[in-house]
Amino acid sequence: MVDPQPVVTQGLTKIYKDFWGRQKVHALVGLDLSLERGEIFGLLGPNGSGKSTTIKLLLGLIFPTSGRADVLGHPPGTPAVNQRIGYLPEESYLHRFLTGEETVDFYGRLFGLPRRERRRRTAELLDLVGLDRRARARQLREYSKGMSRRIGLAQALVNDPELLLLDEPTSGLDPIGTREMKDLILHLKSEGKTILLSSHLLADVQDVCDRIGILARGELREIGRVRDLLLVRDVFQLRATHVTPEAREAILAAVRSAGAGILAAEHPTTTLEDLFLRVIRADAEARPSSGRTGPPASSPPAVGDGHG
Amino acid sequence: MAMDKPATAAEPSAVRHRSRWTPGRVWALALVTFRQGVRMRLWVLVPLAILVLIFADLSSARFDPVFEAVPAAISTSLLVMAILAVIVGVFFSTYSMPAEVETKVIYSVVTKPVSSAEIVMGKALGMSLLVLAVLAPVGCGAYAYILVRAATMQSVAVRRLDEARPHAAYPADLNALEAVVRTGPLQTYRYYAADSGPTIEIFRGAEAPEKPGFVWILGETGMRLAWNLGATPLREWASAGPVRLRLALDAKPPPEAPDTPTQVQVSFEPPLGLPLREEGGPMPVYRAMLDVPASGELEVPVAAPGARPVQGVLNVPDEGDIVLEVMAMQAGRLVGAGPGAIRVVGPGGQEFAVKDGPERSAAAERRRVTLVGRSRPPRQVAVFRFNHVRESVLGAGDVPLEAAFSLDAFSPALAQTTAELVLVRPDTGERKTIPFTPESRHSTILYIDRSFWHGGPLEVRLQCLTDEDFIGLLPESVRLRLGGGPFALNFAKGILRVWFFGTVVAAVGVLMSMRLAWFVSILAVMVFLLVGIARDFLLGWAFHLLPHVPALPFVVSVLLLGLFGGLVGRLLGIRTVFIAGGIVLWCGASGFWYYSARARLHLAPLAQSLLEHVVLPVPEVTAFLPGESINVGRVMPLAEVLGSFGWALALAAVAVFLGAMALKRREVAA
Repeated sequence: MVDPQPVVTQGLTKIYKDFWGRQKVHALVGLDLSLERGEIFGLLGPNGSGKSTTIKLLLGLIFPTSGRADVLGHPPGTPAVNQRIGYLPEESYLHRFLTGEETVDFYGRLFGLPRRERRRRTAELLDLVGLDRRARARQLREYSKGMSRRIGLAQALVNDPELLLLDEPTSGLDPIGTREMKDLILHLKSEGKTILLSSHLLADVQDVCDRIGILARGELREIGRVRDLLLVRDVFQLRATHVTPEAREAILAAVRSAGAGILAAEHPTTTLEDLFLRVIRADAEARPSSGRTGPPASSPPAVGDGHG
Repeated sequence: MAMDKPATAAEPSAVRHRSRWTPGRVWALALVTFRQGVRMRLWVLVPLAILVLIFADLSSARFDPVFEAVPAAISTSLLVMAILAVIVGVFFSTYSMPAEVETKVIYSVVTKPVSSAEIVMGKALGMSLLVLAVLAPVGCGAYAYILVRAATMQSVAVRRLDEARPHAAYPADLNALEAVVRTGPLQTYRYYAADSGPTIEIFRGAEAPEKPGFVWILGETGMRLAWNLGATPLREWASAGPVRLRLALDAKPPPEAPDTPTQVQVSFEPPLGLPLREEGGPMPVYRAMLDVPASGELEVPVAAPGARPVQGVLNVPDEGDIVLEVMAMQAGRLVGAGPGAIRVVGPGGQEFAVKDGPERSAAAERRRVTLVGRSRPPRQVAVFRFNHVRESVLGAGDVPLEAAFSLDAFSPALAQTTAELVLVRPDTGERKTIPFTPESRHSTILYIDRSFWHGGPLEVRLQCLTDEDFIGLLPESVRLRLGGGPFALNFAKGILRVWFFGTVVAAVGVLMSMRLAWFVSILAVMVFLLVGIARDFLLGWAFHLLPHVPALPFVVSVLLLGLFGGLVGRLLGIRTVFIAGGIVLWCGASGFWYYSARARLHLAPLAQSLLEHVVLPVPEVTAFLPGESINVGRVMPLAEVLGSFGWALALAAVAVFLGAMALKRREVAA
């Protein structure tokens, strides 16, 4: 039998009502969506566009007003589904009175992992998200936002899920943590996991997603592969190295002679993220004991915010 | 592989969580709940509670330092522990879930493979463990405090005994002091109920000599002489014409009013279930007040069942037995009758003599007996008989035996009620008289010298000697009290029961908090507790006022049912209109059932049972508390503890089930 698609929605609609039962907010209207196995799908949209509502519906945290949803071939929210998914909320909504280790152990228990397996998995995941021994023994109430995101991610991965639902995964992370999170998402994809993430940080989505959907006022306005959607078909860009001034003039002349218009001819700039990472890494290499050095060369990468 | 139906708008909740559970997940959730309480530093309540109980106990200086201080300390300890269980149970159980919803921690839990039942069960179990974790150290502290208190009391008892010996007015006090000095004030006791009793006998005095086959009753005590005239031709003769009953009564006025006539009520008591009147017809006359003439022969005119009612002429009940009853209406009047006291005189002058003597009416021998006080004969005497107390049961040694009295004395004149206790050994005829002063709803312990009795049959005869005072008695009002078992074990059983109580409160709190906000949940649990505690009071009040306000029990039922039906319905997300409709239908059906049952008198107990258990399904929460039972040191049988455990488990299970239903239907992220 063919495995069902990880997520399928048909006409999924959520209307919030007030105390008297009157319709108040159309949070999501007629969403038709299907995710392929092993892809990273990004839900984009401004605040209040229905991204979180979609994820909550897929988790069974709220019920649809109309329409239907299938997650891994089952209705959302059933234990059979929850056994195979991982969820990273927008904020890390975890018991603040537990320590990092206790938190992962607790969620491992909920998945019915035996004690030995829980211990192994807890150590492995805390290493993966980059929480050191001291941090593990501290209660979550003492964690920085970045550390909270990391422990949140650890609990989301405790069952080695097939499908990951990540709500604003890079929210609250510094550039290093953001890069590490993105690398980790790509690493998880390489392990065959399907990932649905929502974000309003467009650059992050562009970096990792295979496909995206853009929501506005609860309606899906655009959906497709990132490259297809972003392709500017009437502009051609050539990037080359070691171009002498003479060669440059010759190229420009050739373009003009071919009848094409030149929009820009200049040295490209790097991204601020790349610059930042280069500076921080150089500093770390100069003073190896002073802090983190960014993501390790070997995967899986650790995730952090620079406070840990 | 069969695929589940997808979640659609029509039935999201029905498929959200399957009702399965595994102990491992429940335990994980319980441990987290427990840790939450521990890390919220709820343990600070432990030293606080111990300080409160010590302060409360030391500040109540009105107790007798030897006989009352230790029971009072035990009582205070258990009360403080019960309050602590309620505080932890109510405030923390109602806090946990709303806090998790508020901080959205619940998102991380319900998105794991956990059913609603597991979440609610885990929370209730965690709360229960937390209540136990708080109660156990407080219990240990209380136990240590009680030990210290008991040691002090024993030295006080020694001193007091030395001082009292030369001029003790009341020997029982000396015995009691000796008992405390020898065995210590920290005792648990086993109680032995009388084999029979209380039966009422009448101490007639010299004015009413013994007559063979005679039965005596006393005025204003509710006692009645009763004859069954079903086998006589009374009904047949009455249908043919006027009939007279001739009653030969022996009436003895009291010495203080020798010349006043004796008034009696003569009545036919229709059997239960018989309609009091024909549909729309006049009310027949079944009772008449008559004076007993000097000759002692009373003539009572009797008419047929359907005859026109005439005051002073009794109508014979038209079916069933014909029970004639005579009741003396003035205090201190002694009325008696013997065999052959009744003759039926027919319309044609024919006579039928009833050979049998009267019997005491069952009304006077019912389970609850009221002794009416009277300083001069004739007097009522309540007799309790102990026939099967073997010497081996009483134990060895020369410690005095104890008799415990749980009496309910009432004095209309607000005077001190005086009573007299006579211990009689039927085998030897020996008697011992002990005067004492019972207090209302108060337990009294009297001591019996082993030299007087150490096993074998014993009669305890009780009289109220204060004019116009009353003493209420039940079969268990007089018991023998004998030492048994270590106090520590009994105290631990008491703490266990407090824990069960706390568990029920916590489970109800968890239930309420599944859909209600914190503050509203607290109010809901408090209402639950108050109604549970006030249930008996409300019912008693309602039944007391029933003759004047016939619908009151029904109104109380509707109010309570409405309160809980509405609350539970709201928790389960049922529409208000359906809840209201359901309550109206239920109350209508119950009301109809109740009143139709009352109309048919023979169903009245069933109706009352229905009202108490079905219409008013509020559990009596006080039943979980050890209450008085442990305060006076009674050994708490294991069965009683297990019974409480069973009840607590059942109630907690119902709360968990409802809570799981409520959570299943809840959008936790809405």
